[in-house]
Amino acid sequence: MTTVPPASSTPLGSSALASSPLAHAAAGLDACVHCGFCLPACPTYLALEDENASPRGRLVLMRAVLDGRVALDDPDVSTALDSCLGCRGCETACPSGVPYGALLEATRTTERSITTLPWIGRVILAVFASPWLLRLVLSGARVLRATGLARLAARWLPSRLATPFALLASTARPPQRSYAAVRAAGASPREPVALLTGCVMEGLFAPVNRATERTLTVNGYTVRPATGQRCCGALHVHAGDRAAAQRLARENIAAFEASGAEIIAVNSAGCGAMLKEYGHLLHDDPLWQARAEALAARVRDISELLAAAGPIPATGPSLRVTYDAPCHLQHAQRIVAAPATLLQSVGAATLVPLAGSDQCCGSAGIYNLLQPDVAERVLAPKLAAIAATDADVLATGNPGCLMQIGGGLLRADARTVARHPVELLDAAYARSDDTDLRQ
Amino acid sequence: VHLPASLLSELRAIVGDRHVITRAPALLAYESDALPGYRARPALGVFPGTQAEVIAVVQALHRHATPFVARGAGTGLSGGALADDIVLLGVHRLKRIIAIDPLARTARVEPGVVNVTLTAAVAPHGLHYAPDPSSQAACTIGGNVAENAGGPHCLKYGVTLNHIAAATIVLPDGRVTTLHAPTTPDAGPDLLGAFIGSEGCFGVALELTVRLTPDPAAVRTLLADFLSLDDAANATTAIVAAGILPAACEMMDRATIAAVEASQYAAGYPTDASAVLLVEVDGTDAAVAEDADRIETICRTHGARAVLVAHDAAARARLWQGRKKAFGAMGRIAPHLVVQDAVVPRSVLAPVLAAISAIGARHGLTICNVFHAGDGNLHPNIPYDANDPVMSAQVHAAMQEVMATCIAAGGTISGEHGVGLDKLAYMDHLFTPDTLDAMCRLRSVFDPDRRANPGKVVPVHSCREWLGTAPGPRTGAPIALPPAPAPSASADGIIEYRPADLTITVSAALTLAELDACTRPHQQWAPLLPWGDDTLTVGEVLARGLTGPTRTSLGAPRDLTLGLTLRDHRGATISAGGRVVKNVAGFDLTRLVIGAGTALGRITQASLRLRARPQCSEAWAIPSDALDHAAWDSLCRGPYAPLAAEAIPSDVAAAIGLHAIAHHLLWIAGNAAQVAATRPWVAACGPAVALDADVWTALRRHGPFAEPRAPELDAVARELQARVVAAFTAQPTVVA
Repeated sequence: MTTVPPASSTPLGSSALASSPLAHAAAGLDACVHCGFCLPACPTYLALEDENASPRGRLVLMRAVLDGRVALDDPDVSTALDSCLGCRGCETACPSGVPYGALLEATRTTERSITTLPWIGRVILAVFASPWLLRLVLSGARVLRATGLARLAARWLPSRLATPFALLASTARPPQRSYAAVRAAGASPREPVALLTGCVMEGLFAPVNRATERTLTVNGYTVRPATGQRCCGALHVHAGDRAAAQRLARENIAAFEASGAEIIAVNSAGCGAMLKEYGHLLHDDPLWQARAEALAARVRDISELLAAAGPIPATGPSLRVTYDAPCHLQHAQRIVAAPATLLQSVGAATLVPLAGSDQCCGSAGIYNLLQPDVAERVLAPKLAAIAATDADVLATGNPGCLMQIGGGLLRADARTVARHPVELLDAAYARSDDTDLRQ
Repeated sequence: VHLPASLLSELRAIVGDRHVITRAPALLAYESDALPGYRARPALGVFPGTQAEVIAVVQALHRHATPFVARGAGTGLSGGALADDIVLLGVHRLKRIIAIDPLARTARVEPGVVNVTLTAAVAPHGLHYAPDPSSQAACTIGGNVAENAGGPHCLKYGVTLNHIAAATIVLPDGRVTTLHAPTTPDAGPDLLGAFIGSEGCFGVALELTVRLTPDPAAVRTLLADFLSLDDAANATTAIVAAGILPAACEMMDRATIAAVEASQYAAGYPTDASAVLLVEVDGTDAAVAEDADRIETICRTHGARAVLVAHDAAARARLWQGRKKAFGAMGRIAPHLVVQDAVVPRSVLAPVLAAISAIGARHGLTICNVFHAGDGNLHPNIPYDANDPVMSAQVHAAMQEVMATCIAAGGTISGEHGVGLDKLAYMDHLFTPDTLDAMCRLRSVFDPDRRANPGKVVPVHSCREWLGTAPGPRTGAPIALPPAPAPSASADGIIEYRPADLTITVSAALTLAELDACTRPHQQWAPLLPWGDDTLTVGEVLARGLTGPTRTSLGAPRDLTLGLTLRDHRGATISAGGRVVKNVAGFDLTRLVIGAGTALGRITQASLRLRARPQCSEAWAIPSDALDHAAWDSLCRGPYAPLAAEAIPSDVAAAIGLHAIAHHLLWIAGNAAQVAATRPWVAACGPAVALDADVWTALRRHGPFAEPRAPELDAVARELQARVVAAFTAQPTVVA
């Protein structure tokens, strides 16, 4: 057998490595038996066809870093780790229960102690960490969208430049008949709920947030405002900026505690997964850990809440609908059936299965902005599968996925549009005679 | 190894820069397969994306005399796809399903197609690819062919060998040829049979024509739990001995159940049981219901505490999921895992399991057993910590003892994982120097320079033309072997008959009539049934590869022979294969010899797989002019397919006592319920007349009535066949 000499130099000394987040998470590496079941579940392996772009390959590299066989800032190691979408599709496929998401996060955090993100990533994270900058950028984006410039640019610019415009243009929504939401006669009164309004959700998908509030109300929940809430911090954790994420988490915990709501509703799968992991994020903060865990236990995805409520059925327009599972709903939160329950309550909609709906679309937070080429390769089979369903609407409950798939559909000039599942339910409620719901 | 710079630039030009990996950190991911106890760094990785690129890469490696190892998904369990400082050639990018022919029930696929992807692709046609190794969610068809992979359902449906109709391969010297499964007698050395399971030593597959199997109309899965491992083992033997051929019969012991139930694939196995048996029967509704009832009774008689029957697909999938993911679930127990593979005669499962348990206890180790009980194919697995040198040494010693125990019990060292690196040290204990030498000669036919997966499968010291005539020193620690039981030889040509194992070893001079007379009292048969009469000897049938009317339903000699002894033209005695129903230890000399006539030597003994004689058997004749062809086709292709179906001319009809007009004849068989359910299908074909089922014995003397067309061999395949013959006739050139 070949014996491999230890990496000649590493800026991360062996003692620093021994106390790094990666070293603390190392027990998770031991669970891997190298069976390879994760390979076909990994979108980047399928797209790039190299084991370095697979969970098994990345776990080998993490182990090699810990064993001193390779330096953490080796370009091959960075490339392998950066290529990961963080979709955690591998966790669902893994029979040994390797905590891949936690290992990736620990590795990226360790990585950030010796290297920095590319400038574009740093800019994006800084914007999300600052309320006023974020408001400014999102207002600018809305102007660009309203003028139709985003749509034009998405259509006419060359592929790589067009991507951000397509993402933005896909968030446009036609005006919709509004209705005064009241608790439906068939719905029992339920707990008070506060909605995580989110950054991208409120900035670019405000109609979806309003639809979420209305559908919650119709189904018996009382929606309470939670002022002072911030970005959930998921983007920062995934990029290895744990400290920023912890700051945001503390502010959010305080805001939701003050709202008096018993349940925190989230309509963005990625943010929901983050909130549910606040206990883990603040596990080393004795002042906040218990509060973080208590909050995390009260977080529910909107599909969970509505599915638990029934939900009140209503007849929407006759549509062919297909569903794509956001990774952070299916793999991270393990919520599989609830979105279908929600969509089935929309009468007149025909639900058609989507091949490979459990595979990532390539959005993955800001991945599609940092790695547009890989993101596009990952998206290609998804668009082909959607085309095969001949659906009018692709439903998915996460802003990143809505934009990635929506933008792809836009650029492909497809007739399918991407919508959040609650938008369909809300549209059905809006169509129903108000008295229908009151009776 | 030093790779010439010009090779590197050639490879980059062929596959593109992105698909040639040379930097050490990026090669770490390719150091292991799914047995990470073995690790070796390739000198470089090259990953072609098309068949033309594979050919060009192999030709470039040939020009530069560079050794290489082919790799699929790296899910192997023998360290077989490790490239130690040589070139690693991955074929996982070749993942096209080229064509599906639902009528012929075949598909043409590239080697990188994932096993379960193929089954998903053909599912709309009501078909599936039968070999289902537990790694099927990740492993590739190319890798399956290299290892002759099995799986739970090969108990009834056979292993990879039985499901590959043709393979287009590139030889290590860069020449391309297509090898076909023989369809006619006297087809010459079976190169495809030798290629399958050759662990990447004979070339690289470019395209495979696989046979597809119709989905069964009905499936029942039973879970029986036992308070003793012995009872579960004995129940397995009793099920098979009762004449039932389950689609699968799997066993898991307590330690395995605990691991599975702690994982996200918890299947609801009772954690307080000593063992569970997962038995699946499939076929028609009628047959399955009867078999399931009988299995339940047998399990209860043998001490099953409870028998759970999964009736719907969801419940079945849940029961299977735990079994299929058991190996991964053991990752929870300890940081490392040794996965073993050995086969013993089914009837000695209970004592062998007890011995394995004792070996574990002696070394202070937990051995988890999860295995294909119906085949006697054991998988003793040991979770351990490789960083603990004392424990690692104990594991190593325990595994050697387990292997020795299995060999002593009349078994073999690998049923489906292959030899690779992991089993290399045991080859000497299983095969004679003459047999190992024959394997080396076969390897030289395909790869004279030993550049394809060098150092694997057959220990180098056993190749005489390389290292002189005497075997070299043994590698690895010696194993103390218990004395082998003396064969119960008898003068009548029956060397060993184990009814409970459904195996028999006979002299090649035994006639088919004598073989039949021996197995009939046990309600068993060796369904060779070739065209001709029963004075043919077993040796003739095998040497010529003779088949008859049951070829498609019950198999050809290459499907039914477990092993054989050959006296070759050099005077060497070669013992190929073994006496157990699954065996992938070493190169497949058995397949090579079947159909090769006397070109390679004379067959002196053969071990055959037996089947339970059908409980009911009926023959029906329909005048051809009154035949409803559509009904006939749907009977022959459907779930009630007969054992045999032939169109016979008028003179033959007269000779077997029918009216002297052309007839269509059917042979239907199975349990009573199955045969009763088949009769209406027969009636639908036309006015059917019942005949004595023995009419088929008479009919075999008059056939064949339609000889299948022999596939045409290309020049390279013909040359390979000639070189195989030469390798078994010419005297070895000894290099001092």
